[in-house]
This record gives sequence, structure tokens and C-alpha cells, in this order.
Amino acid sequence: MAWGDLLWKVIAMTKYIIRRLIQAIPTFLGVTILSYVLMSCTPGGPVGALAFNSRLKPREVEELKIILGVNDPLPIQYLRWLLGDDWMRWDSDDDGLADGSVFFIDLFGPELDKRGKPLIDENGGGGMRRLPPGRHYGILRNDFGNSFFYKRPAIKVLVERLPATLELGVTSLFVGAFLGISVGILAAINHRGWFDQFSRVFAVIVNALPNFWLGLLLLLFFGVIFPILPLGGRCKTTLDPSCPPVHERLEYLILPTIVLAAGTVANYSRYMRASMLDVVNRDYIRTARSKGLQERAVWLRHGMRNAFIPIATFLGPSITFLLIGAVVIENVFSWPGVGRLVVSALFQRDHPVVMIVVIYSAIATILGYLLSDMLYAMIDPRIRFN
Amino acid sequence: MNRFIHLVSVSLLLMFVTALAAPLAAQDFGSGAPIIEPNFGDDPKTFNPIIANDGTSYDVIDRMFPDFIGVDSETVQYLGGAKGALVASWDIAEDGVTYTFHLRDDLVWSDGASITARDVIYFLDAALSGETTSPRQQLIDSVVSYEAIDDHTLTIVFNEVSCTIIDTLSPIYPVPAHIFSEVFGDSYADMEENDYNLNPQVTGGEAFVFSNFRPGEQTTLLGNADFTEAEMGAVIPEGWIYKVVTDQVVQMEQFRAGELSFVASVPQADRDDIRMRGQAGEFQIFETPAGTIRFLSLNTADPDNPRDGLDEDGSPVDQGHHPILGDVRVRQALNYGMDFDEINEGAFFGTGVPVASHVRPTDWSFPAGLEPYPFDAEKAMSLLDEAGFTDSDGDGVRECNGCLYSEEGAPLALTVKTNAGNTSQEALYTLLQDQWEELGFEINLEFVEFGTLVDEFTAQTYDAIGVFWGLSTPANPDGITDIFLPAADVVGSGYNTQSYNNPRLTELIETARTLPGCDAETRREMYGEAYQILRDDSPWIWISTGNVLLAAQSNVENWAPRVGGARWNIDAWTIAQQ
Repeated sequence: MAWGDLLWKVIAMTKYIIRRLIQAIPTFLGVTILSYVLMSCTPGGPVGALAFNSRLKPREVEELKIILGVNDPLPIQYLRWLLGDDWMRWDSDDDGLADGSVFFIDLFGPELDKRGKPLIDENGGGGMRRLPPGRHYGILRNDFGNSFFYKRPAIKVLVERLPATLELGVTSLFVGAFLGISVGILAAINHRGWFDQFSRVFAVIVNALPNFWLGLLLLLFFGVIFPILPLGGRCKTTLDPSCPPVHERLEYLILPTIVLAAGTVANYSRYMRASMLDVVNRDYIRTARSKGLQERAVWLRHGMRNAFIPIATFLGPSITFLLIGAVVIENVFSWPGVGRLVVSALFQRDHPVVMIVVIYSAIATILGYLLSDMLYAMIDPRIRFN
Repeated sequence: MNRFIHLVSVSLLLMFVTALAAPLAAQDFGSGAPIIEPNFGDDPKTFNPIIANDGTSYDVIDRMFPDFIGVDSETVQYLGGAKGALVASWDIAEDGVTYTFHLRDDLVWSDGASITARDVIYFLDAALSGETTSPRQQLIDSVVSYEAIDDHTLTIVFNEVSCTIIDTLSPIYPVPAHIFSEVFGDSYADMEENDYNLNPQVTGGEAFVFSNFRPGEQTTLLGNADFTEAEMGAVIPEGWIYKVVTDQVVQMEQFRAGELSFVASVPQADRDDIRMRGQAGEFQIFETPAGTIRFLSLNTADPDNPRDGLDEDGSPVDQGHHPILGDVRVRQALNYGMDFDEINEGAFFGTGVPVASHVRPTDWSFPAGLEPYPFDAEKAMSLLDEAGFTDSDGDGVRECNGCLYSEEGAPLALTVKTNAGNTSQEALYTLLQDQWEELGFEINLEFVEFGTLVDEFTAQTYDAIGVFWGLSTPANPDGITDIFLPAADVVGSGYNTQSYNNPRLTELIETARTLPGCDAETRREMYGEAYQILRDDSPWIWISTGNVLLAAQSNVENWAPRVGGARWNIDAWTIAQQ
């Protein structure tokens, strides 16, 4: 390929990526609006989660509402979450109290009595006080706020859990995709043979089994009845400050990977089989055979490449799965990943943690589909970036 | 001959010394394998006692920070000089509000610094600053001032004479002030976000010191070589690992496989098996009363118009009446109509224990003779008749026919809610629904997501809600203030969500709390009367408590749990190193 062609291809691809990313902005904003509104509709909202504490005085509950801004209209709350509030109410003389604010944000709030009610004086008026300045930068500047329960930035809490999730996600996706595609090809080659029938039955059974149940069953079998694999966890329980490298603790990955990969194998094998069978009846395959190519070359060189095109559709969105983890499986295997984090955050109504996982998953999904489309274009020469 | 006697004497002395030294030699510091305990829940949120507010964090904090005032594990009472606590004794001045605490001088942090009054002052300064969300801010309601007289003497002045002051101080922990002031500075506002909270380099005064924290996996502590109160003269376990295991089935299989040293609460489904294997000597087991009570809160006030119990001046606010539960006879009828035996078999596998109050029968304030309501359907129905609820149309549901607060002809219908997903709660209330419908109630049973349930509970818009109540250890009878006194009837946050107000009860509790001299017998009588009033008025239906089954591997030597705590001698637990 000439350098010029390559350059044009790269430029076309870059333009395509930029165009797609621009197109993704409304999608992303839609996701933020939807997820924020849904989260706001959960019973109690953030104050409900924090205020269920008999020691918290009514005044403190009201103060909490002011700090969290939950008394503001929903659109303002959304804006504060999206863009932050450091520009909405600011403190220019560093006295810890706000001295300026944009027009739609109050600079003053009522003095509260000990029961959290606004203080009313004899004339019906009330004491007012300057409110503290905004301190949040908003999610667009990667500030999701502090986790209500971990008392630390939600982003830090998420990042701590990512390595474990990626470790399990990448392994199971790789194993699942590799086995699934291989089984699909073999099933197509062995069309209507015993292997084809077996793979079909396997796919049906695996899809019908709840994966938490399969996980528990495997734990019972290989951890209790024939104790050859560990009973969950990511590495051996020792006094050491960290887990050893992955290659020294592969036994911990085996069972969760099997459970997670089983579904991927089942799905990929069915799609790959169907795709291969569709391709092998095409004219160009017949042409390849009539040219005298060996059957193996026909299948691998001409059949497989084209059969991969629909499969590429699945690979991109799988990135989401890598990020958010396997919610149920991480719980069953005590795997310290994002999936488990989000489950406990939901139960604890830890909004910042839930929201950061939702938003990052949305971003991963958008990028995943972009990657899918790029893979499509790379595999299929008929598709051009322009 | 003299030489022979001398030789024999020396030999005997040597044998004696050797015999004495032998167990110590075999029990060197850190010679035992680490104790691995499952953490069936989430990660600890923080290891900073100033801002900690969850049980998991305290599980770790209690292993590596000394208490301010300790509890005797045998009597389950506060005790000066208790193991792992800083206060050796205390005096109360004649004014009744000035307490002088004498601190021990033999406790040290892991960097060798002494634990002193300054470490307590730092805790109080930070907790009371109002700059953190420390749950210890509640102390501000009772503490007027505090001062370190010297390194080992501290005075705290309270705003009123109270017999529960020591309870109030129990959540205080000394923290290494020399390190904390360096890490957090003078401003406590950013304390919660500091990474040091999950990586405290200096701990001490307890059996273990901090080693590391692996999010989602485990918290690891190491034996404290400077712990002077170890039962065996030195801390035997090399460390203590608090391992996250999020699935109960997996947790128990790990225990059976010997991967866990100790389980603090065996799940209901595994109890028979563990008990049986415990009796066969495979495990060590211990049963103790549970720390929670199941109750059904009955809203006595108008659910359509919830109001705070007191106005700004502290005067009671009229709460209106719940159309059905506003009448005490109906509440009593629900109690008499509860067949506990059937519930116990159907919902608790026979392990439930009926209760008559929210304090344990073993607590000092519990009065003799306070019994749960007996099951008496006849009595229940006669109370309903008396309350003006009769079945005039023969459809099996009673209607108001001259009742106190409901409209004439309105059915005797209640909505009972409990948290969804808890199978024993669901079974319990399904059985109660049947039992109460036999009396002529129409029970609309709803299983609700916990967050929603809490919102309705605090909003006071419900008829009846069934949840759990956690019991404090040591028992603090003044805890009743948070549940049944009008000051706790605050819409949206207070725990007196049933809007119950009985002036005699309020008087008894206030008097018992501030009784001059705090005579235990007089206070017991007052609390006894208070509990009897509550039983008779029935703003709650106290349903049951249960037992907790603890289990340890058979190779955990010196495992000797007490009612006051399973880990009181954890420094002596010995597991042979592999």
C-alpha cells in the first residue's frame, strides 16, 4: 500500500472518530439526564441515606440538605452535579463564606433553629446568613463527589476496584471469545454432526443456567467435594500487603473465569456458527473452491475473515463488561471488583459511587460501539470511514 | 550432706523455673498463625475513630486502638482499668458534673510514644469541632468543657448531673495526637478525605497494630509486641486478618474447609450442622443472646398529619389519633392475638425467644416479672369488642361500631409493612397476617424495599412497620429516650415514629437519668415501671430475639468467648503455625 493511501486512510479514520465522538455528546448528555433523574427518584435521595441516624439532630439534617443542595429545583441540582457549583457560589475573600453567586443560586440562607426550622423573628422576618461557597467541580471535570460511606472521592473508590475487575474481565472475555469462536467454526465445519449438536445443547444449557448458581455449584464441586481449587477470593489469605502477580495465582481465576466465559462461549459459538454457515454458501467461496484451493484455505482465508464481520459487533460493547464487572459473580466469588462495589453502593444508596459507575459504563458503551464500527471497517473492505 | 542438700535444692529450683518458663517459651510473641475472621459485608470505611460510623470499621478499630473507658467482659459493665482501655479510674466532684479521669501510664503507640490525655483531647477537639461529620458530635449536647490536668489526668465537665455519663463517653478513643496533628493540621474540615484514614501508620494500646488494607479483600493487623496486657504475657497470633467474604454459603464452606479461624455468627441454615459437628469435636461452638430484637412499630398518631412531638418551646404537640391503633385496646389485642409458638416454628426454625421489652432480660434494669403477652385469642377478641370493633355484617372483618377514632362502619383494616428480601421477616408477617385475620382484622401485608420502608418509617405516614432494633452493650436503659419520648418524635429523622407520648414514662426516664447519687436499685425500679408502661401501652409489639452461634476451628486454643465479647482474649488465641 502506498504511503499516500495509508495517510488518507488515517485521516479518514480520524475524521470518522471525531465525527462519531461529536455525535456521542448528545447521547452522553441524555444518559446523564436519565440516570440523574432516575437516581433522584429513588426513595429518600441522598439525604435519606445520610439522615437515617437517630443521633443526627433535625438542624443537622436541614444543614445537610443545604450543603447537598437537595432543596433546589431538580434542573439546578442536575447542573450542579454536571458542571459543579464552584462557579455558582464563590468565596473571593477566603473567609469560608460565599460572597458572590450566579443569579439563580441563593447567596443567603435562613438561620435555622435547633429543630431545623427557619428562625422567624417577631416581625415575621427571619435571620439570614451567608452560605458556604460551592466546592464541587462537577462530573464533566471528573468530580463525582465523595462517596457517602467511604468518605473519599468516588473516583478513588472506583479506581481501587478496577484492577481486579479488569483482570477477571479481560481473562474471561479472551477465553470466552477464543473458545466461542473456535467452537463456532468447528460446529460449522461439522455441520449437523455430533460436535454441532453438542455445541448447540451446550449453548442452550449454559444460557438457561443462572450464573450465580453455576458459580456456587462449581465452588461446591471443585472447592469442597474435590478440593482442588480455592473457595473464592483473588489470592491466598496471608499477611502480605498485596496479591502476588497473576501468573502465581491462576488457580483463583479459574472458576470465576469459567462461569463468566461460559455465557460468552455459548453466544459467540452460535453467532460464529451461523455466520460461517452463511458465508460458506456464498459465490466467492464456491469460486475459491473452483480455483482448486485446499478446503482448509477456503475456510480459514476466505470463510473466516468474512464470518468475523458480525462477530465484531459484539466485541466493542464487551468493553462495558470489562469496566463494570460481573455483578453477581464478583459477589459469589468474593472478587474485589467494581461489580461488588456497585451492589453494595446500591444497597447503601451511595449515590456518588453508583453514578460514577453508571456514567463510566455509559462512556465505555459509547466507545465500545465506536470500536465495533472501526473493527467493521477494518475487516470489511466494502465499508469506508467516509 | 550439706552439699547434697544444696544440689537437690538447686535442682528442684531449676526444675521449678523450667516448668514455669516452659509454657512461656512455647508461647513467644507472634508464634501463632494469624487469625482469619470473615467480614460478611463491606470494606471498613475508615480506620480513624473520630469519623468512624459503621460496625465494620469499629471491628478493626477495636483491635488496634484502646478504648477510653473499657467494659469488663465478665460483668459487661464499665470498669476502670479494664483490659485495653485507657481510664484506670474516675472521680466525680461534689457538683456531680465534673469528672476526673485517671489514665494509665503503661500504654504506648506503635512508634513508642506514650498514650496520654493529649490523645483524648485531640479526639474531643476534632469530634466537637463541627468541621467533620463525626457521629461523636452528639457529645456537644452534654460536654461543657474538658482539660488535661497532666499527661495522665483529664477532667470533663458536663452540663447536667446524669447517671448515664459514662455511657455517653464510651465512643471516645484516644488517637495519636502527635501524628494526627501532623497529618490533619489544625483544621479538621478535610480530615475525612485524607488517605491516612485507611493507612494509619501509628496505632497501639491494643493487641494488634495496623499493617495493611486491601480494598474489597482484607484488612490485616499484626500482633502488637508492646501490648502489656496479653493473657499469655505476649500476643500469640502473628496477626489478625479481616477477610471479606460476601456470600454466606461460601463463607461457611470456607470455614468448614478450615480457611477461616472463627465465625462470629453462623447463619441460620448452617446452625444444625455446625452444632452437630461442634458436639462431635470438629469445631468449638458458643451460643449467646443476639444483639437485635424484632419489633412492629404501631403508629398511634394520625398518619395523614404527622407532626413533631414537641414545639419550639418544648411543649407537647397534639398528634391526633390513628383511627385504629390510636386505641390502646386494639394494640393490646394485636399482642394477645400473636401465637408466638406458631411463629417460632414457622419463621424462626424454633430458635426465636419471645421478648417483652427492648432490653435483654439479663440487663440490670430489666424488672422481674415482666413477661411477653400470652397468646389469648379470646381476650384479644373481647378487647376488640370493647374497643367498638365488631363484625356486624358477618363477612369476617370487624367494623367500627362505636369505636373511638375511626369512622362508623369503617373496617378494622391495617397495612403492615416490612422489608422485602428478608425471608424470616416475610414468613413472620405472613403468619401474623393469618393470626390477626382470625381475630377479625383485615391485614394488607406489603414487603417493601428497605430504603422506601425507612422513608415511610421516618415520615410517620404508616400504620405498622416491622424492622429490627439493635441492643447496646453494655445496656444503656436511657436509650429509651431515643425511641419513646416526645423529643425523639421528629418527622423525617426521629426514632419515635409511632408518636408515642406518655408523660409518666417521660418523667420516669428523666428522673432515672438524673437521680442524685444514681442509686442502682431506685433506678431499676423506675426503669421497671417504665418498661411495664411500655408493655401495657404497646406502641411497639416486641416480637422476638434469638441466639447467635459462634464457631471456631478446633485448633484455635484458648478460644473462650463470653457474653460480654467473643474476642476479649484474642491475644491468647493460639493456632499452630503450618
